[in-house]
Amino acid sequence: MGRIGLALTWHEFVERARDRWVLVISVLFALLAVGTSLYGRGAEADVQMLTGPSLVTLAALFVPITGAVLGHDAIVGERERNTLGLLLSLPASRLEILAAKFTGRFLALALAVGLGLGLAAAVAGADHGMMLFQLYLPTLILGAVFLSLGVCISTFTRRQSTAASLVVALWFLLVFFYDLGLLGLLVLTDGAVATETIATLVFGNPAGLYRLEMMELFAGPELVDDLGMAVELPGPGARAAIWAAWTAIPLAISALILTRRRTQR
Amino acid sequence: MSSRFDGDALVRVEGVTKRYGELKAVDQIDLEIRPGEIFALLGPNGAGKTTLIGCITGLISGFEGEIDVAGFDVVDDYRITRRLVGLVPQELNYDAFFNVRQVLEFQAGYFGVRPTRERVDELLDQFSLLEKAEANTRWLSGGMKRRLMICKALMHEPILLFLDEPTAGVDVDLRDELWSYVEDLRARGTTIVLTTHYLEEAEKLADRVGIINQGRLLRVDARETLMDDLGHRHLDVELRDGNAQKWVARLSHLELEAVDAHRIRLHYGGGAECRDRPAVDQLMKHLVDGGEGIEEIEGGRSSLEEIFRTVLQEDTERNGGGER
Repeated sequence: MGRIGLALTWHEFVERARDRWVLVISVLFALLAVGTSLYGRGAEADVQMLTGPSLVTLAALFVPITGAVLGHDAIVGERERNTLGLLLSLPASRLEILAAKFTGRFLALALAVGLGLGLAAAVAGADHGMMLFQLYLPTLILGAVFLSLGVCISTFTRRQSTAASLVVALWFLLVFFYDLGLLGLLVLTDGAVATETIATLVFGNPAGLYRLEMMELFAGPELVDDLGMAVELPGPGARAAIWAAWTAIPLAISALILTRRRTQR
Repeated sequence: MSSRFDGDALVRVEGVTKRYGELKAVDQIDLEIRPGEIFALLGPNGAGKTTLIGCITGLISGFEGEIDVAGFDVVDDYRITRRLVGLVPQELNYDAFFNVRQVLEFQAGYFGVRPTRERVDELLDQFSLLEKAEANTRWLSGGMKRRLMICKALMHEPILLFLDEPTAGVDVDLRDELWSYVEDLRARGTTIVLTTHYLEEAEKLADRVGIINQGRLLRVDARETLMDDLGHRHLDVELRDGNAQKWVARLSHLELEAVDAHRIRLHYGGGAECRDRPAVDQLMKHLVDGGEGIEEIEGGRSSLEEIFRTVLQEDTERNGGGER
């Protein structure tokens, strides 16, 4: 990324870091994370069995919506402000502009997640802090997926309010209703659907995969057995591929839409 | 990547057509914009002015034909051409998260230029925004936002500046200030392309004028040539004795009308006739030889607006005013 790309990235980062919705969600996440950590410490609970999994549940709720909100107005917001044309007429390629949009917002996400988990880790004390901080990178990747989805939605919607509605709907779908849907599928089919299929569907959802990966981190590899699932978590390569696909495919679609658009109005 | 700039045309538009489905927003336009001039692109709403500007500046892609800026192709060498160009779009916009100074600093970065405090202050001072340097752009008035947009377009010191309706919603004093700065920019060598609804401003400022209608460029000429060729002049003579009707009848070979009993108006054309003024000479000779007392003489000419209307009307009569 050249100087122009870096300038765009910095602008995106500073702008998003000042966005009030991102601030509200980030502060709320930080407060709850610190509260969870304090509770775990006060209860003298095992960080692996109480604080860690609680933070995972919290992050699985907050980080996807933060990422999605960060991404939802990347393109459509510019269009509504009548600045998309000007932006795309800068001496940078559209791919560079998209990359700068994503990177700047990703940095804002990294700051928000780092703030929440960092404070929680600091409160947990030196012994448990590092354990909790292991959550950071995977949580950031989860956020990046939803950021990428948000950016994608922002490229094909015509209004920012539509994009906002869609990212919230997507968040509900992937974070809440997906697992419920799978449960419903099991009940409706009376177990006719293979457990492997259900497991694959769970792993295919970034929110589900994140929860299982993190539970495994805290509770060990036998967790899946303990949950009564007769399957194994995908290997590191397969997991990396799932995460990469969830991040890259929406961005690739965004790039395709943006580069094919002939008028930026 | 090589420049084909020959010094004659800073912008060269060749056979450019931009289609939106069946509609041709611009249709086979050829145009050259010379270095250092103020070029006014005039046309009614929807004529294709903004589309043409968009094609040159990179706002709009997927057009047929070729456009060079300083000899560089705007599609293949867009990284170069876009650094040479500044654009002030029609639509007001602002960056709600930043103050005026920050907006300009970011703008410089977008063009790979390191912003200096001096450059920012110089621009803000020129556009009477220095006092607002630390104010959030959200709280600027419409006129201030418009001026800030011009500052943004100038931040990277482009050699070619496009002003698309820059005075829309700007009060009279500020308009004068703005045009004075435009003239100043021209004096410093910046080439300026402007569209405006205030044709009297184009008449005052522009070196050359292009008239566009329904996507077609109808006429491009030096402002004076256009006004001489297509405009008309008139001469009002106020007579002491109220013999206006008598002179109109007597000089029927001249295009003369009686405005009232004391005033006659001679209409005469532009071009060579305008320069030689035989009709004026004839009228004055007849009046003087006839012993007519003359109270006052006052000349006038068609405005650019009248010429603009004439060109559009002729085009509509020739091609119809239907859909493109």
